Amino acid sequence: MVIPRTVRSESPGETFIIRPPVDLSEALREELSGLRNLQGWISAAVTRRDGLAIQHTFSKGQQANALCAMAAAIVGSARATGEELRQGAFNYSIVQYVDGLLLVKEAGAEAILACLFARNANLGLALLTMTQIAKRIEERLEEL
Amino acid sequence: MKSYEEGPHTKHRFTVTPKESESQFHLVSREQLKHNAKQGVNYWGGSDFPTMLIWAGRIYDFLRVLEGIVGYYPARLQSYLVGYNSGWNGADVNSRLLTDLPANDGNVRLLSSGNGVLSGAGWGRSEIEYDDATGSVQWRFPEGTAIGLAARQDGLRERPACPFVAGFVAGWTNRSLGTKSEFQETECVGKGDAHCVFESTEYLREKTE
Repeated sequence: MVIPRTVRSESPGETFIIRPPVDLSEALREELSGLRNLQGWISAAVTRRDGLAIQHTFSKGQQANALCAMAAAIVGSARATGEELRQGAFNYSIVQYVDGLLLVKEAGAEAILACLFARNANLGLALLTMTQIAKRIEERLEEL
Repeated sequence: MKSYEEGPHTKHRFTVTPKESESQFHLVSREQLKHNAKQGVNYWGGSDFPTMLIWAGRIYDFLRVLEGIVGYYPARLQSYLVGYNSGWNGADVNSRLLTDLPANDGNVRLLSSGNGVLSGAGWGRSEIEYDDATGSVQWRFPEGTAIGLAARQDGLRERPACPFVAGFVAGWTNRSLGTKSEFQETECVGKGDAHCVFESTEYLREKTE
């Protein structure tokens, strides 16, 4: 029996994560850096609408992947809820935990911005900054 | 079963005729399927993955129920992921079953075996086109996938019904060729198209309407 010499790879997961084009990553990395100066900022990620991470500031990719998947689910379920209740389009989501705040906002037609803050962060300023950055992310994506 | 088009580069086309689909059914769903009578569970291709018959509509239900909760896009990715692992593992197991001489280091041969296995397993008869210069791959189901046909019975939908199959063909293709491609459903019988078509893309940038 002849065994074909096929390509070896450790696991399907390693080939599933598709890296975005370099120019897309760089543009978004630059935008995310604008969040670093906010008080209480912990991490941020830009994800595709389906939850696949495009760019993030987490030290571990696994954490970013989990946040991105959840952020997409939050936006998806919030949109569905809004439609069901006839409350119009989704704007942003704030999830308050004992130790932190998770803010999720759409960034145009193909991306979502998710930011994790400490519980004592200035929520108003964080939302304002996120709104500005989400807008710029949208413009950057449209340019590419 | 396999034909090749020669040009400035090689474009591979692998087809399965209805007659070949019939013989693939006997191979994949009978000869290569072992029944563990004690468990009442099947095993395919000598692998230790429990295998069972399931109605295609139930696979579609996973997408339908999930998209009702979190929306289409996250539901699509999760369904795609499950299909991806299935395609990857299927190709992995099948690489040990191929007994003919490997062409192109076995990579293309392994890719070419994918549609025979799928039609033999009842997922739908398809043809694969692979352009080795551009790396583009297309899986085309002229009569639709089993899941797409099940979705159509449920009524036409706006978005494709088979991210599971898109993931499967991505997993099979990437495992075979050593690539990192995504696949998108460009045509789907579940939304009224005549065929189901899955095309490779380097990075999917799907926009909402």
